[in-house]
Amino acid sequence: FTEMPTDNFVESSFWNFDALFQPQQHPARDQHDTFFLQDPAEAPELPAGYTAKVKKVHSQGGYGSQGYKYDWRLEEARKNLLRTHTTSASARALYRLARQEKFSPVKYFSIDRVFRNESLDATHLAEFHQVEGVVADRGLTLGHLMGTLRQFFNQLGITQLRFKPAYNPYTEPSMEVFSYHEG
Amino acid sequence: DEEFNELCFEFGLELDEITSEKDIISKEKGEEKAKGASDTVLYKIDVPANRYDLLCLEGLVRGLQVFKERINLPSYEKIIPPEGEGQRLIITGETVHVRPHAVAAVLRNITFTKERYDSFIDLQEKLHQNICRRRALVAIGTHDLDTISGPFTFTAKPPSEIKFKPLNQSQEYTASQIMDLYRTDSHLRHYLHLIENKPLYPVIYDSNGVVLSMPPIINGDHTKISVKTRNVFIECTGTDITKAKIVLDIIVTMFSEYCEKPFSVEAAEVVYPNGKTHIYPELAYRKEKVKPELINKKIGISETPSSLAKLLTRMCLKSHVIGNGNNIEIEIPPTRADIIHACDIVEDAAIAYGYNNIQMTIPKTYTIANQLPLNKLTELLRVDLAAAGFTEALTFALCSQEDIADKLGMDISATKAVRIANPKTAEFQVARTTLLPGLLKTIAANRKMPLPLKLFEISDVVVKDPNTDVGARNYRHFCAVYYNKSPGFEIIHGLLDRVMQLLEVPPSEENGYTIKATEGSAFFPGRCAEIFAKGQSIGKLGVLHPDVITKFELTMPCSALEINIEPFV
Repeated sequence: FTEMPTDNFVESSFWNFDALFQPQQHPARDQHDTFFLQDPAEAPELPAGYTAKVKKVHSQGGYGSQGYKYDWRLEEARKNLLRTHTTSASARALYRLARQEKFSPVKYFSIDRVFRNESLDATHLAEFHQVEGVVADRGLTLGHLMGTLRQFFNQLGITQLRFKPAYNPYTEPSMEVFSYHEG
Repeated sequence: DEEFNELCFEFGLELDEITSEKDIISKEKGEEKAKGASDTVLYKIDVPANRYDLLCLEGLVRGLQVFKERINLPSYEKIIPPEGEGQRLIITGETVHVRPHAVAAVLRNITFTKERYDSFIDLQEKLHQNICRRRALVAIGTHDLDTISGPFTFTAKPPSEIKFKPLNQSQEYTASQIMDLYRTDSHLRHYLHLIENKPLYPVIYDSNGVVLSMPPIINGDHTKISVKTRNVFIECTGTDITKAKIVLDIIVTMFSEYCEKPFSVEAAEVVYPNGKTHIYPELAYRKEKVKPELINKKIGISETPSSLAKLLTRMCLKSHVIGNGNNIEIEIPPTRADIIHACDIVEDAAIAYGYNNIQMTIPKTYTIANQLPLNKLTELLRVDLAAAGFTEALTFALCSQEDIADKLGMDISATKAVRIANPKTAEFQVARTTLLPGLLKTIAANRKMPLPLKLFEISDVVVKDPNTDVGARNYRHFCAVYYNKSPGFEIIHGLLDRVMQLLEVPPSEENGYTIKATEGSAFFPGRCAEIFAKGQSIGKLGVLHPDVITKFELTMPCSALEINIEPFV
């Protein structure tokens, strides 16, 4: 797995949410879950052609999707924030991959810091680290995903795993992984 | 209980807690107050955010029963009353600036019990919090149809002209008085701002001028429904028509179960300002065709088309095989507004199959992997710095404004720091531009440890940069501090020399590194130097100024070194 560059804590809402099909009215974009920036408040540059495509899929649908059918606003996408997940770096990496002349299968990973606007308590911090992994190839299945996750956790010494269906705006099918510890 | 937990897990729900009313009161107020409270077992279930149909008991039970193949998915029917007999909701032009959209429907001859009534009210609240985004996008109003007569008018009027008796109040108030009345109400005060400053407030009247509601704040007392109500008029007003339609569909599909003709909904007509009319609820059934190979391929299973159709039907997506077995036609009911792409259908098939029944395999992708050069350098340095006797620290990237400016004797505007708009506490006002405050705070928290304290950190700082696409960038810094009874400038200098040796940078002015004496606001005068390498200034080292040491609540001398390591990648 090749390491992705993640050296930008500051991200635009576009890469953090919109490009990942998270609707602009989603609760996670609220003031109480995300750190929005006062300065610099807006991202000066967004990829023009790609932005238009993202706008279309949110508001009208496309690529086989019904879309969310609401008015997508550019100002909302420009808002800067401290990234809430390293998936924004994955989105950038996949965008770069898509612009290559010829597709080549890739495996990416990253481990870096993310920020969530939460009150601190015994099990929650405002900053924590996330591990991210992406495999892009032809003919991948859900079974492959589960197999890769199982190998990953086995390496950490966790062997008893169960997968549960979950919901994520940008992954479908989605799952949460539960592990059981003896004792 | 175990069985139910299993069922929830498979279906994709999380059984959060098994408790009872007695337990809840016990935990919050103590056992004394809990005496006499109900012992009936309560399940707290976490429902995914996109499944509006599982937010009430009716929908949840229905979904689970179809999943277990105990019942067939009901077919929801829209009954259009004969010409002139149906209810009409007329929208006037004034609403366009405050709350332009509205949809309506009728539940005819419904039978409520206490539980059903509570569930009905509960669902409305849950939808308000969830898809309606706290009533901002859509507000729901339900009314006893027998207390009013149509046609109904949805219009907007100045607050002084609206006067009615709000729900559960004993007298009439004007709209402005209502705003004041509910300003301290713990529940309703959060919604006042949605219309408060508009010149016109939305209001719905019946043909006799009786106020049904003033959305999104409160309904009128006149039309309130009770356990005895037989006919319900439902209206949803809002700023997002798609969501209003979904909300209406959910309410009527869930509770039409209790109508005299189960699962039937009486349609109502909405008349727009331009004269056009529309029948609601839409109760749209959508048909999608998906190839069985696609489903099998995406999941990694190989089921026959007919067994795939059966799996989908269990998930409330009625399906059957068509066209000599090489295609599946799926009917998406109005309760599943979350199905917006073929991949949603694939997910449901996988859930019905059971995620944990899927065979786990490894992708056959061959790739040559690389570590990111900057991270590789960081990892190598970390090991050697630890070997040099320094302990690594991991500190917060967010700090207060004073930490990076005032406490270091600098002005905040000179730091080019990224500032946060909505910090919860003063500790998270800005993103750090230097690693030094973090390390000094770490020492302050570890004063009781034996001296000397030697700490380092290699991590990112954030600075504003107009040349990047977002307006800011990270720099990888390395910072080390030495805290002891004597400042130890020679130790910090020695550490710098060691790091340069590891980076294979010779101590020469032309093609290596060099240090020049300078003044720094955080440093002791005459004990500060700037480090130059690769043609640029990469940082400073020196003995910290006593003011800095005191501001961070420390008492001993301290020397520090901070450089940017990116030029060495």
